[in-house]
Amino acid sequence: MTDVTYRNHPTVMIRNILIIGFVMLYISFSARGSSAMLIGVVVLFALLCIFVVLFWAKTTITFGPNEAVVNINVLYKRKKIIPYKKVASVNVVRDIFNRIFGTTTLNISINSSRNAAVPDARFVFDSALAEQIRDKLTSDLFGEEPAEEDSSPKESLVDLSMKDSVMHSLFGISTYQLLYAIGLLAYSVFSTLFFESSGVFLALILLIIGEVVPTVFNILKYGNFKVYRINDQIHLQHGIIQNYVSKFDINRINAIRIKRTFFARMIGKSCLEAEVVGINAIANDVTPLLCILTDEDKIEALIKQLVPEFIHHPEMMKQPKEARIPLLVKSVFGAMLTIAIMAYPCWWTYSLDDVELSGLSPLEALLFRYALTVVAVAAIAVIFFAAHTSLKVREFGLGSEMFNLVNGLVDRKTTIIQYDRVQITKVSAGPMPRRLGLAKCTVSLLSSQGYKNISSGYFRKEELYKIGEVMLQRLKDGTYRYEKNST
Amino acid sequence: MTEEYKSLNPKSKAALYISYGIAYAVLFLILFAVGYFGKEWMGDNYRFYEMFSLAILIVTLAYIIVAPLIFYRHYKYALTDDKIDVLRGIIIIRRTMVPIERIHQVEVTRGPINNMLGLADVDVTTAGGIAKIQFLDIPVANSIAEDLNRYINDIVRERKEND
Repeated sequence: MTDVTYRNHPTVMIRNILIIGFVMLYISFSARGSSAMLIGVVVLFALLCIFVVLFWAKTTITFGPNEAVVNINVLYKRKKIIPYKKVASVNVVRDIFNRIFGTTTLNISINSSRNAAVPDARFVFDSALAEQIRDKLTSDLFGEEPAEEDSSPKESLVDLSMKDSVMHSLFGISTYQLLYAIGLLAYSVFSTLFFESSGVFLALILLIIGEVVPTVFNILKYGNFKVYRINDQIHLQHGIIQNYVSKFDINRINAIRIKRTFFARMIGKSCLEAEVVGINAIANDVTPLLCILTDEDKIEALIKQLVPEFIHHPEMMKQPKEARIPLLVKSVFGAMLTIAIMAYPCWWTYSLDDVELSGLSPLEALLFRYALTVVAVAAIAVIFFAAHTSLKVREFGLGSEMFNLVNGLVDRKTTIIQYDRVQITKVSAGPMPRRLGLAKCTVSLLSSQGYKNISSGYFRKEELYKIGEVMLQRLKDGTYRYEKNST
Repeated sequence: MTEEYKSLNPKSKAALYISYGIAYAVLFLILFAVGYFGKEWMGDNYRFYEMFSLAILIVTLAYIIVAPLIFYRHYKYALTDDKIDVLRGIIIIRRTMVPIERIHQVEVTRGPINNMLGLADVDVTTAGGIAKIQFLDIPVANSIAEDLNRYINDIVRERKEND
């Protein structure tokens, strides 16, 4: 690539000035007629507008033969060099502003544990130019031929309907979050039917802001979901109003995860995620979805076609029977802590007399008196149930190139991890597991969030040490290829 | 590089006693301040608060007296040609293993307490987080950092030649 320098599209200035304008307008309304405040707001607005124009004029990106150089020279000077060798992904995003102005945001991300959560370069170009730059970069970087007609429809490796995106938005979220939403809904309905409580309004607001809006947002975000692979490039496309387009090299995937939330398991569905470095650009999807919630057999088929490198079915080990003891000890401690925290509040609510509860209806008084005790008993029951379930759920399997970890008491996660992507291993054991020869293992991977730790349950110490041993062995015997795995 | 596990300098116990002592003083002051300013607000519950604070202070003091001795006894580290291996912990024992190939950066750090006692930590940064070898004599820390840096540079040089 020869040296070509670009600036952001001029509409970036319009967008930024509009955003600043809205903020200033809000502050002006808050000023409530204070003239000094209004003058201050106008002056600040003018200064910020000048800054926006200067920032636009003095910010450039130059695509050279081996690296892209971002230059910022406004109040401070900054020169950021992005070697193409280090680039993990080149993504395009079209938000509402982009759609209005016919532009595209191009995000370039490198592998960096320090700055992995934000793109290393973010520029807005005319859509045609952005596609041209992206195609040129990806063809140079990853050896992919530029698409002749980018707008041509591409066939997804998995057929997904609108129903799937709705199901994903409802049941793909954490079960705890879903239960919280159901709780709020139940409280609202219960309170409306039986009490004249002002809490209904608050519960409904929480439900709408915390659950309904994100669900609708996710339906819009994950609608029209497409995933396909061209050579070693994984392509993701989704979105109904805003179009999210992303691509990354298969070698950038550190691990894949099959996720089955509680409700998804009940209807035989799962979704597929990947731990990828540098995929941040698509709307904060730090762990991008390779497939939204769909039938298990479709996920299995997709793995075979999309990421066959991660097909891995080792013999899985369950936690040994002895693991029951530390789990039980932990549960007893958990229960004791719960009792210590809840005993006094439970006793206090229970001991309130009728005079102190005179403002409440008989049903409300009954609930007030016993609710905390019921919650405390339920919490203790959950602690013991979790320990019992953990013994059955957590699994661990070693292979020659990868290892699998199964976690999640409620929402099951099967993570398939490459040894070559593990940065640090920690094997830890408390006094009780040590006596039993058991330990837990935590592996650290580089991820888009910076780094991510994944932990196992209690297994034989020697088995867990094998993760580190295989890692080192692969380094020693040359099986590890740094060109492929270098971060 | 050495193969066998090495123990820490006994001065590490002093470093821990000093840092725990400072933390204990801060805890005492917080509990005292909350009790002093919140006495009226707590009313009849003040007695319960006193008992609770006393229990926390006794348990913490017992931990502070014993913990550095156990920490010192458990702490072991080994550096080999291909990995850093650290065994540490008081109640939960952790064995941390970092392949040298994964190291990006090596740093020798000294806080005021360590500085006072002539100790230093070696912070090893990888793409997956930071691992530490703590409470080393300053010359030992510098020597480990130099060795590690040399290893890393050798790896980089070798790769450049291969490219």
